[in-house]
Amino acid sequence: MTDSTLANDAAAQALAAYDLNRNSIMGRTKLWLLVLAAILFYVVSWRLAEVDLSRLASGLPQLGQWLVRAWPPNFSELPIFIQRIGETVAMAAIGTTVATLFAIPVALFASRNLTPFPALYLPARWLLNALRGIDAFVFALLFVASVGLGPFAGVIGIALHTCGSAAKLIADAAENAKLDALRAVETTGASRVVSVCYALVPDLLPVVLSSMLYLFEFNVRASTVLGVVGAGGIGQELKNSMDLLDFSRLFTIIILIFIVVTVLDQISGWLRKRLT
Amino acid sequence: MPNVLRIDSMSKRFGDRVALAGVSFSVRPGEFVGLLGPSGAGKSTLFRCIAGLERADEGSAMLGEQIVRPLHRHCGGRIAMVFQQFALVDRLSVLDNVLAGRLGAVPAWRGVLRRFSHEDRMFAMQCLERVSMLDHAQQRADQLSGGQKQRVAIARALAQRPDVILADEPIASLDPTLASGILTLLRSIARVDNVAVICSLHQLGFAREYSDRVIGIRSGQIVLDCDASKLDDNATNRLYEQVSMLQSD
Repeated sequence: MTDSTLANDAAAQALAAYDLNRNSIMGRTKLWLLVLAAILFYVVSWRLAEVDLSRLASGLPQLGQWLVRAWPPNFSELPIFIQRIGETVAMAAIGTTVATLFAIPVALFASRNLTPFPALYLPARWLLNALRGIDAFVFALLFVASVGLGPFAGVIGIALHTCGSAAKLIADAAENAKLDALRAVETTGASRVVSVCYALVPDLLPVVLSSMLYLFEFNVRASTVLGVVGAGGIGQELKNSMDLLDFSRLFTIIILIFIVVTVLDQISGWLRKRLT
Repeated sequence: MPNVLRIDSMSKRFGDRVALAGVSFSVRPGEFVGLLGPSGAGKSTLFRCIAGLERADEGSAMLGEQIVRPLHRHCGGRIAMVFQQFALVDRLSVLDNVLAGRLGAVPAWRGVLRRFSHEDRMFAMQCLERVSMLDHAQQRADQLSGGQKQRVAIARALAQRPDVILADEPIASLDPTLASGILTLLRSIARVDNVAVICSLHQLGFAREYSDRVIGIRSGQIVLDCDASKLDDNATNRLYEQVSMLQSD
């Protein structure tokens, strides 16, 4: 390396300018204000969340006792449990599938590059955000009141919430899709619809199926609790056991949920890997 | 002058495919070697084996009196690499990218906290000056153009105080004007700092113009090793055309 003084001067000046810019008072003040705001945020959150470690310490022994009483698991009611878990999986399956079918056209409107009516792009996105913003649990609560107790209310709840998520996933994938192939196909004189089917659908179909499986996994887990509000499935039994303080029954149900969720996650994960 | 780098019958295969079949050559300090050969001939594998990023099945690379042990940091960054796609950390400033070249020589905590000594930072600035990028020191790497990125990558290589620079198709993503700028820079580094530069290229004109010597490899073997001025049509035919005949068989 040449070490002429002239070279050193220019480099030294540049280094001084670099440090001046990096360590400017404005920059430092901004950084400290940000750190302060973050600390404040966590202090307030800690208060609002009523975090109280002493309560956890006194509550843990109680939980330990319940666990001791939960052993051994009790499989005498296995047939009813299996039926209820079947309901849960069925709710997730029907809800997710219906949601995806509705999501495909909605996603078309909600992707900036494909929408036939650009004016509807933002309203479509708002609708999706609203659907995603309200949990399946909340929808189920409403529909138990209107269509009555049972898994059907759960299906509607899952379908509404999932429709938002699925359409958003598909629309995002469509917005990120490479459109040069679509343009190339369009220049051959094919109509818009034909071009989309030919150039875009092969790209997007795996994404659609993959997000459907992903949402199905998610919904199986989510719908285990829908029974708590009376929307059918294994959650119903979970709540009953807790109400009766029957811990070995509760424990058995949790084991079964764990097994079913794990197996379904594995299968769906394997399928999704095959899709890409 | 003693050799700075000596490659001894280096071989490497990936499964059934032979990538290198007994490659031997040596390079003197300050020599600019153009490495030619069709795509898939083994140029990148050769670089990766020399730099110790990949373990050769047979043979060795000697850096001066030291053997380069694969997957081992011990040669302390004395072999620097420059890549076709620049390989900068996009979210770091240009200066921090150049300082990456010092990582092999400083304690780990300095690297993790990005706290380098004044001497190292000054040296990095001087490296940037060498590649005419001093004015861009504060910019984030992803704000630079391709030619500028490659200059920063070369400054990073310089910051390693290397004995050898391996440049793997450094101009393949650049237009001809930027490309000759980069090659001029690499050649001046070879001359001024007495660093051996091995640079793989696809453009024969550039190879003839900038190299002292050209090595041609095909199917993992050296088929050409001569003065750059002796690179004629006959030699290039041997290097490229026979391959296309082989492939059409």
